Amino acid sequence: MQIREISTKEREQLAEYLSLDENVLYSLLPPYLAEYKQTYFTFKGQIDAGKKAFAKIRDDLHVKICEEWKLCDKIDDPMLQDQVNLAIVIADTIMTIKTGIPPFIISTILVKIGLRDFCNCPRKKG
Amino acid sequence: MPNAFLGIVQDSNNLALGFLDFVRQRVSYASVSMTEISATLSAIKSRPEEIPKVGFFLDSLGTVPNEVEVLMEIPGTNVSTTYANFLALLAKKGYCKLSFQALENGQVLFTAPGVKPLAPHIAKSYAQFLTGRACSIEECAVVAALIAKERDVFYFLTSRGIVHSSQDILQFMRECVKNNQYRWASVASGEEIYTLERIAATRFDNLDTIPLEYALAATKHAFLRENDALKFALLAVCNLWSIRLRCSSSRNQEANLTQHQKEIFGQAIFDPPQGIASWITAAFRSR
Repeated sequence: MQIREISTKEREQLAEYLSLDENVLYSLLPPYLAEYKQTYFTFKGQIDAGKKAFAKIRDDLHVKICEEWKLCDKIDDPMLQDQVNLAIVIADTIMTIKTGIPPFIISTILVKIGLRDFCNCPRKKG
Repeated sequence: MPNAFLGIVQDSNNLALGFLDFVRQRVSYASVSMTEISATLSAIKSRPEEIPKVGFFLDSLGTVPNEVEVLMEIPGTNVSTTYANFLALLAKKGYCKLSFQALENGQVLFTAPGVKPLAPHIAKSYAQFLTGRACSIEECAVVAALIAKERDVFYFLTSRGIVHSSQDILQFMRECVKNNQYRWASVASGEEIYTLERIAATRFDNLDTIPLEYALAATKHAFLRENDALKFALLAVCNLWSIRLRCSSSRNQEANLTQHQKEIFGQAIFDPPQGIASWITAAFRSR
């Protein structure tokens, strides 16, 4: 599988996203959403709002990644064993879903959740 | 108003003391291994005040002990006998008062009025924030003494409140961009009011990265309690975008809330560009 070239800056940013835990990543979503433009949060409230926002696009992500892109057929590709590569590929796949949120943040959350679980890919035997 | 401050911190291996004398501009520090303290205490059970290295250090400060403000990182409400003995030593040398009360369950309740308590590792995080690098335990003890001196920094670092979220900061900065007259954003939580203040040096570029920088800093300090980790996330963002941060506390009995803006919003916790006084950093460099 070919992975598109990304700039050093993008790669560093992805590495920074990947260094965060799943909960903290959700806190990055509300600042990008118009519905929260005038909202003040506690940090926990910001995480919860991010989780709600993610839940709203979850079905669209599932269709795009699991059904159209057929992730389960590709997830064992050696290139995708690297989390940065995986996040790049998923970000490119979901680019057309209009969310207002940078695709790298969403793809990082999906990597943290576990894409195999997200798409219910069958487990390999043995 | 004290002019001399003693900070005491501990990590898993060592206990360190840092002393700042603001009149003579003098810095002193020492550290002693916890093993050494335990060994000394078991050897001379009846005289805990004789922990040699610490006793020598305290005697060498050449100050009036009861005029020194003491701040000590306390691990929690249940402290070890080493801690209790260490406080007994401080009391014996005149640096604090100590009272004991035996409880029915066999435990001993002791209080050390006048000793400012700080949660563990806060001095380490604050030292790293001020210097931009990992600090030795002795340097952390000196920074603990600095926290004892700076009233509102102490309130900020010991506050139980929740500071601005990254979204709050972003909202404030976006409002500042829209409106030149927009200057403040305060959050009241617990017993404190935290205030962000736009100043001439405040930057308004790359605002979209505020949530990421905040999250990275919070993650870096995840070994602290969550509300404490968020304080260092807030400080990191204030540092990057040159935002002044103030904190005022209802714990401050001196504040006259109707009198002066400085008292209403508190002293600056972070006032860019800010650093440690050169006579203190010189002592750091000479180590």
